[in-house]
Amino acid sequence: MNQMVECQLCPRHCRLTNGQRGDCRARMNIDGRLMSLVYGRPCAVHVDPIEKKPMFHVLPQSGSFSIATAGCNGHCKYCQNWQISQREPEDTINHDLPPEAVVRSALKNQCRSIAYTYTEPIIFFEYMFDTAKIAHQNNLLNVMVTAGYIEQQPLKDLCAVIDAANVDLKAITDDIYLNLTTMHLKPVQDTIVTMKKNHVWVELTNLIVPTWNDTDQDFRDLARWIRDYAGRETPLHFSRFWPMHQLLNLPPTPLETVTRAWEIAKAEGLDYVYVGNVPGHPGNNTYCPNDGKLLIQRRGYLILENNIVDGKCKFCGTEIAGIWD
Amino acid sequence: MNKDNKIIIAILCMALVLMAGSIFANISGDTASQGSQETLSAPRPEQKESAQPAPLPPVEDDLSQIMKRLQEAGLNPQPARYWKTLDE
Repeated sequence: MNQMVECQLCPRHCRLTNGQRGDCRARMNIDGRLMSLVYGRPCAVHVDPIEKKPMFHVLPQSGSFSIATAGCNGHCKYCQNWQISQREPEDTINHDLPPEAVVRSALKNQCRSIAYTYTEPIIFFEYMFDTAKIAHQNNLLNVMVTAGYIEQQPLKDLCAVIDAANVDLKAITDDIYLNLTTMHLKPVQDTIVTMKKNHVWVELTNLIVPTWNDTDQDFRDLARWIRDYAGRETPLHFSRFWPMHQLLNLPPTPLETVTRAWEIAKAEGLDYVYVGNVPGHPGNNTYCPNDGKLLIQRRGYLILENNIVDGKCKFCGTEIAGIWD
Repeated sequence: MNKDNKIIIAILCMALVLMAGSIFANISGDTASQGSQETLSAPRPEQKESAQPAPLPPVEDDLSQIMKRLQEAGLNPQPARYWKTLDE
């Protein structure tokens, strides 16, 4: 069989001859049929605090059973998990963990959610989808940490089983996006809008990479797009870059740059703006968008104080967007 | 000057030379750091040329060999969703 196939899961639309695998390395044309090579075979399995995703408005201080398989449909220059994301699945050490076993393990570890994370969960779509369905039957939430590079139809199908997603919005101009990640900006923006329309709780992360996406104009444009298309209640996490993978030549993001981004995004009207990878920064905390009072004080992944009661500010009663129980 | 004094003076001279060398090395290190930071502020268009979308992995000739490798790695390929066949 030498039938050629076209994968329609992500915007790359890889056209594959027999024996050829996609850009993601996890999907392959085998005898004229597209097959997932990684179904039920995660190479990373951990119990994480949900704050690590980062996910600050979903079940604070709860455990999230986190899985990933090898492969990725992005190739970010700064990838911090490149040892598994840029590898063939036969080159990683994999667990035999079918969907039912994932859910069983999550419950056994007293987790309240399953996170599809570390690499790009879109590339293990079938495994994630089947696991998520069983998770819902067992009152677990499904959380996806993703670059959002997916076609609209599979995304809409996925939204039926995913409760929350942290989407990387890596830049706000297409040329920087393409050169930094090999992905285009527009499909990612479409993903964010579609998720919001389909009632998935969305938080966004922007890694600030020196010389790539670190100007005041970048921060302003990013915040304005989020405010206008995703909504001002969408949390935005600015994350400090640390030299990694192919960008070892760059310094860590200066603290003043991260703080400037935080201030600009707040000034543009976003309700919840955070700073990540900078322990002790006031941007680690959640503040009430109405009275400005401290709602959740964090240190690392720990919560020192929580003043959200029944999803509302304890002081003024303002509703705080998120999934709190 | 007796022999002991000569040895002490020689040791002091060597120490002076080492100290001077160490100070010079520090100055050079700072200069090198500044130089590398100047490279960072290079205009963005230079960076644009550096990255291209990764090419697809090459076709692997012998499917039976591929299947053997996948099997040895404990992988169990399952039907994927969202694809279509193409007319050749």
